[in-house]
Amino acid sequence: MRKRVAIVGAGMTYFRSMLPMTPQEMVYEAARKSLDDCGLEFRDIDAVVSGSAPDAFDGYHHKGLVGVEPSGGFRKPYSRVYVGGGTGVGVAVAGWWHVASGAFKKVLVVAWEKMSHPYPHSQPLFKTIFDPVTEQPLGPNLIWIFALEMRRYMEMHKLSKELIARVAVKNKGNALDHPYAQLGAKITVEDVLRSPVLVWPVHRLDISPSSDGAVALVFASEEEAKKITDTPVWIDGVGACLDSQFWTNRDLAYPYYVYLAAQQAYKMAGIANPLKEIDVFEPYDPFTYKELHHLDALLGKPGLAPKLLEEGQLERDGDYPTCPSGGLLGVGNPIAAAGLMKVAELYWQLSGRAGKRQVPNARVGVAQAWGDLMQVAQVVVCRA
Amino acid sequence: MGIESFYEYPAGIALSRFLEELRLGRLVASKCSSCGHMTIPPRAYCVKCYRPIKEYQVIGGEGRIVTYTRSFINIEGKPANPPVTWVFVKFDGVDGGLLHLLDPSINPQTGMRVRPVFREQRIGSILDIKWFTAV
Ligand SMILES: [Zn+2]
Repeated sequence: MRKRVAIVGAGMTYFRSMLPMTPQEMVYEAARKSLDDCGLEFRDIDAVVSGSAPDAFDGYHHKGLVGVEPSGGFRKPYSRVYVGGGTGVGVAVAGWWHVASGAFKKVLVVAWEKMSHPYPHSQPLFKTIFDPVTEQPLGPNLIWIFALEMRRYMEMHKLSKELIARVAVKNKGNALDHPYAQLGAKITVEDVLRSPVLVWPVHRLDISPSSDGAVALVFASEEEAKKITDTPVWIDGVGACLDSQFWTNRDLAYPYYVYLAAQQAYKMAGIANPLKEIDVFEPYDPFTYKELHHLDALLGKPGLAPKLLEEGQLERDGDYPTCPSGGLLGVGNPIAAAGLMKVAELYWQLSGRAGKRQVPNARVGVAQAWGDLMQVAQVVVCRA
Repeated sequence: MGIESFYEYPAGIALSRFLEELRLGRLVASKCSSCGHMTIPPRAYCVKCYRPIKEYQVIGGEGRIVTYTRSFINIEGKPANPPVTWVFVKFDGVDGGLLHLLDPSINPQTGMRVRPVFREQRIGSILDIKWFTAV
């Protein structure tokens, strides 16, 4: 018998290009804030689920160990989950398993990333994600794989760069209201189009930044949640889906694996029509087009998201508020922490504590992260 | 802190066959003896029915551009001079496809028919294909 799971507390560090803190100090700050948020102590937590992206970023091998002490995870069950760029929402899905199974009553879920360690830049580390026989000899950089996908998506739905650039304008604008954001800014479509072309059609301002940061959430069983808070936010659906390692074997125009993960989560949450029943969307937006690409799949309607963007429906005061947090483009992209930031945003939105970012009457929200070589999908659906 | 670390990767069963055929100036796909499904680069197992692959089939090199991009930065994130055009090419009746460079004299278009240009000196590497060019 599955137990209902609530988010009862949240906390995060600033997202910055270089935080003058160790990963341990970042994990501690996020964890401490999440526990203070709900009046719990480290000793009250039964288990810790942590998430962080490749070891190469921190420069520590088996870097899950880094999170053990500052999360209070020692002398109790502690695990690190890893599903590439999808880790940030994947860690919430895994935290949900812990409580939904009935095995644990109170679980700390924490994600962090320290991308400023590699010198001079983290970019060359991505080379090793490509196939050593068929791809690495060609000298690929990370961005071209997304440029190929973006090109395919634009052609499929006849989308202009001008339209897609509006995602950056919207998200960086939303981030101005996020107290922890790295890149909140008032910019224009022209600013995006005038920024340098890195790998056409990807411009500099189409891409989220490298960041340091940590986010923590406290999950509790229904019985415990009601003792802890008057405003629990329920995780009513989770979904996870991976496509083949080989991106050459799928249609780049539609992330069907994201659709499948979303459908799992909707079925669990009893959502039949996401367009009518969901009030807040936090799709993964490491690149401008990815917000639209993912939203298409979360709505189950290829090509709909760009139309909604064009009509202004994805703005915070539109009918389908999307990335009201400011997303990765605005708040920043410390990989695993960025995904969990989206789940934290649902917690703040649905408990009515999102401050200047608050979407009125938000009752149901969906968050999603994506990663590896364009094939990981992790989805959670939350309800006030 | 810095580490210099080197790795050697075996091409394995299916890709060894692929590299051998590249050395001969040909493209080969895996073909499932049970369901007939073909994949390039070849696999040691069928991605549809999960039977082991026993057959490999040389395919005509002509394919079509599915998507393309032009990179103004190199793998280090530094400016690429000249910029490099990448194409993703699919082959009729074959699952998967190949990522490669495009002949710089060609202006890419989605759906354009292309073929590989092989180097004179071939060693059994993906780089035995110099680039793809228009048919
Ligand atoms: Zn088969």
